[in-house]
Amino acid sequence: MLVRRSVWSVLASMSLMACGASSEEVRGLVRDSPLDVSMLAVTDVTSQGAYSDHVGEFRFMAREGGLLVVYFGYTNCPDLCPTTLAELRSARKRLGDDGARVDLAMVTVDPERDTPEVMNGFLASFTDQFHALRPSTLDELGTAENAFLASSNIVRSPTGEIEVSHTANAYVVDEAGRVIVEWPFGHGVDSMENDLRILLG
Amino acid sequence: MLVSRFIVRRSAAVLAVASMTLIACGGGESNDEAGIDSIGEASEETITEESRVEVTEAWARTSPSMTTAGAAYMKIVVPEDDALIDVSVDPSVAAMAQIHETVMVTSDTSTMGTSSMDSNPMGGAMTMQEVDHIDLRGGELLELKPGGYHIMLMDLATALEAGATFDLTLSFEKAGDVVVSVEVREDAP
Repeated sequence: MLVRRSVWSVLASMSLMACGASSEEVRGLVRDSPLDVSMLAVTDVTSQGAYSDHVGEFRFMAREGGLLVVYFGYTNCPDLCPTTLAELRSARKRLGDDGARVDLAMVTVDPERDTPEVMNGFLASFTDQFHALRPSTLDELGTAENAFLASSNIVRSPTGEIEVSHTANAYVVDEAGRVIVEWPFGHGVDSMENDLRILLG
Repeated sequence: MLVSRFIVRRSAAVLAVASMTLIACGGGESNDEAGIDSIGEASEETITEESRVEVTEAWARTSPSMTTAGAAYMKIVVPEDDALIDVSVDPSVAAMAQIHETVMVTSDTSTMGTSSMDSNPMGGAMTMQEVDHIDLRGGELLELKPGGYHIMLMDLATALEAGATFDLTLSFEKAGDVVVSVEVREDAP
């Protein structure tokens, strides 16, 4: 059973920057002490796109001069996951050349159904610059989620239906492997573009 | 909001376009000229505005390669208190359509095994669940949108590609069946 808990006290210390108040301010969630995910490593199964030569383990750090957006999801997710990834796709497009400085890493919370082939096909429809991350054990998934204070759970009903729950935030990670901004579900293209533009400098 | 995306395959289709513009513009008081032009020779005497279900901006997101699930969204206004009780789609589109809702996982849904600590917007988990029906109040807008109510399409027969359209049948407790044309798009209209 995959059950992981967020830490209330840490969440309480998060401060929400003013929404839509000024184009100069990040609109996502910023923690007083950024989460450090630099020590984390997850199995990389990317076989398509710009990073198809990556093998082994992926480390959660942005390329030099860039940003890494991390999302925990699954490909049979018709609502939340494609909505957020499509928003990111639009935001990157609006940034023009700077959009290419933003990479995507998706960790599947449903590695059993999300084969490497399925993950690559799914992610390639949102960007060429993706990392398909497929934990090879539940411990590996749990460790990754804990580092981001995320959680997920899969329940299989007696009738065979599979119900997946997962944290739907997207995490913006810098070169040093720090989570500098978090986007709750529904952050939207405008706010993603705003935040990325500011963070890219 | 674009009027042209709206199609209801019923006898009052053209008339529906006229009243739809009011909804699409957020209940604005002014008549949209394009909408007025497009109603042509609609006869308001045939079917009154109060007697119809209005469905606008019906769209489904393109389905990524290799995936088998899709979701459709729309705006619905019913003339009187009613309920959306069923949805169906042709097998050439998907094996099954269901009314779903995306919700935060809370301690109330204890089957998920998560604690109430997760029921916060900053790190809480979300999930989808099938809903038996959606109650609708007459004249009030119900929006099926990402992160809320949606029509889930299961076991897609073919990939949903941008620009394509397909029919979805909505079954209402009182108003009966309404067929809407759903446009496949990369992003919300």
